Order: sequence, then C-alpha cells, then structure tokens
Amino acid sequence: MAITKATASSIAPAAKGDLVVGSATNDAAILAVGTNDYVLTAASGEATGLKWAAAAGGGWTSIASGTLSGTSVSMQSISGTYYELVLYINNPYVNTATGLLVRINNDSGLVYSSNWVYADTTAWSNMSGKTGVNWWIASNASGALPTSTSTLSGFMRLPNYAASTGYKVFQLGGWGNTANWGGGAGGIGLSHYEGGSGAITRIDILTENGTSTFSGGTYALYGLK
Amino acid sequence: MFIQEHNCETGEITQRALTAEEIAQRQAEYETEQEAKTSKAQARQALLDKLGITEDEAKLLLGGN
Repeated sequence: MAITKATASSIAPAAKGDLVVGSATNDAAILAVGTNDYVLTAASGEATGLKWAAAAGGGWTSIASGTLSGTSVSMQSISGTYYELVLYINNPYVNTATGLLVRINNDSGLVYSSNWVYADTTAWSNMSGKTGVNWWIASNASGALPTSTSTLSGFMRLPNYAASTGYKVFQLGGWGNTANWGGGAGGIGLSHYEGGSGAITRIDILTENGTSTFSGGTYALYGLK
Repeated sequence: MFIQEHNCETGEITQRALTAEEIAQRQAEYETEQEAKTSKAQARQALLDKLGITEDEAKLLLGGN
C-alpha cells in the first residue's frame, strides 16, 4: 500500500502506542496500543490483519491430577512436549504402613537409586535397591507412609524427562512427621533411573509392598513449556 | 486390589482390578527388593567384621571434617 502525504497526515497517530497499519481496502488505519504485556499477532479476520493478544504458551500446564486410590496410580501417555515435569503429592495415607515408590515407564527392576538428607541429619541416607524411586513422605524413621490423614507432602522434579538418551535424574522434596524428631521434619533427595534411555511416558505412584492401598491424598502432574 | 489409570492425553481416569498375575508380580517385586536389602546389610556387616570396627566407627571414618 502506498501512503501519500495526504493520507499519512489524515491518519496521524493520536495516542501513545498507536500504530499505522494497512487495512483490507488498502487504506491506512490506526491500530491502538494493546493491553500491557500483550503481543502483536497476525489475525486475518481483523480489519487491519493484526490484533493484540496474550502471548501463547509458556508457564506450567496441568497434565493430570486426582485422588490417590488403589495400590497404585498410573499416569500414562505423557506428552514429550514439555521441558520438564513436576509431580506433587499431598496428604497421602494408606491402610497399612509401607513406603512410597514412583516407578518410571512401568520398569520394576532394581534400577533406581535414591539418596536423602532429612530431619537434623547431615549424612545422606541411601535408599537404593528399590523397584522405584523411594519418595520420603513418611510417618516414621523407616520411611513408611502414615495410616491416617496428615499434612505430609512432597514434590518430584523430572528435568529432561523426554530425552531419548541417558539416565534420568530427579530432585525430590518431602515432609515427614515422626515422634523421633519431635514432630515434623523436611527432607531433600536426589534420585536417578538407569533402566532405560527412552523418554518418560508413564509415571506410577505405588505403595511399596504392593498390597497396601491408598486411603487418601492427592497427586498433580504439571509440565513446563 | 485395583490400579487407577490416568490417561494424560484424554484426561480419562479409570479403575480396574489387578489381575492375579499382576498381584503375584507385585509381591515378587517386593520380595526381590527385601532380599536385596537383606543381602546388602549382610555384606555391610561382613565388611565391618572383617575390618573389626562398628557401624558408628565406620560412619566416623567416612563422615569427613
């Protein structure tokens, strides 16, 4: 579109942020500035072919959430389109005390290593030799889940989960509540899975002994784009 | 006993009973885990006995500072 001096002066910007743009009739038009933090986006349905809109994508997306139930909860068909995943568990409890495991891609081999520092200890506790990532959300020093509702919670971060090569490394946090430490105690853990090199598409949360069932608690899986 | 399956593509949540094979497999996995734990503990104790030190003394040696 050719903008003559006459048309240019007739459509001179009248406000801060105004843009002069071409319209469908080859005339110049004013596009007023958009909302703060919006971005300019092509939009063929608009008279000017442009619009201001919220930036697409970015941030955390909810992938799965629900109530812990049965002997395990299995999150399947996880998309590989995120940079990383984070899994939250809140207030879990079981009918019979046992540990909490997270299994990757349904691999039940002894291919998980977990190390924790918790309470007022300074040494790492080795919780390897498990058939899943050992997640310390515990009501006793041996790492068992509580058998009644509580305020215990934890998170598990899974960076680079969609990589097709290499071991997967995880960062964990947990909150325990035991008489041993006079109440609550936080813990932080590092874990890795060396059973396979493919992308993680399935995550199972399960009771360690395979027979205890979840009586309550919630899970939530988010992905970062 | 049942498993809760959550399809992350569709958002569908279903629950199904574990099959007899799945229950047996879970129990076998746990037993394997416990055996590995026992075996590791025995190996650790055997090494401590060989060195003639206690577990606390071993921690003291490896604790640094």
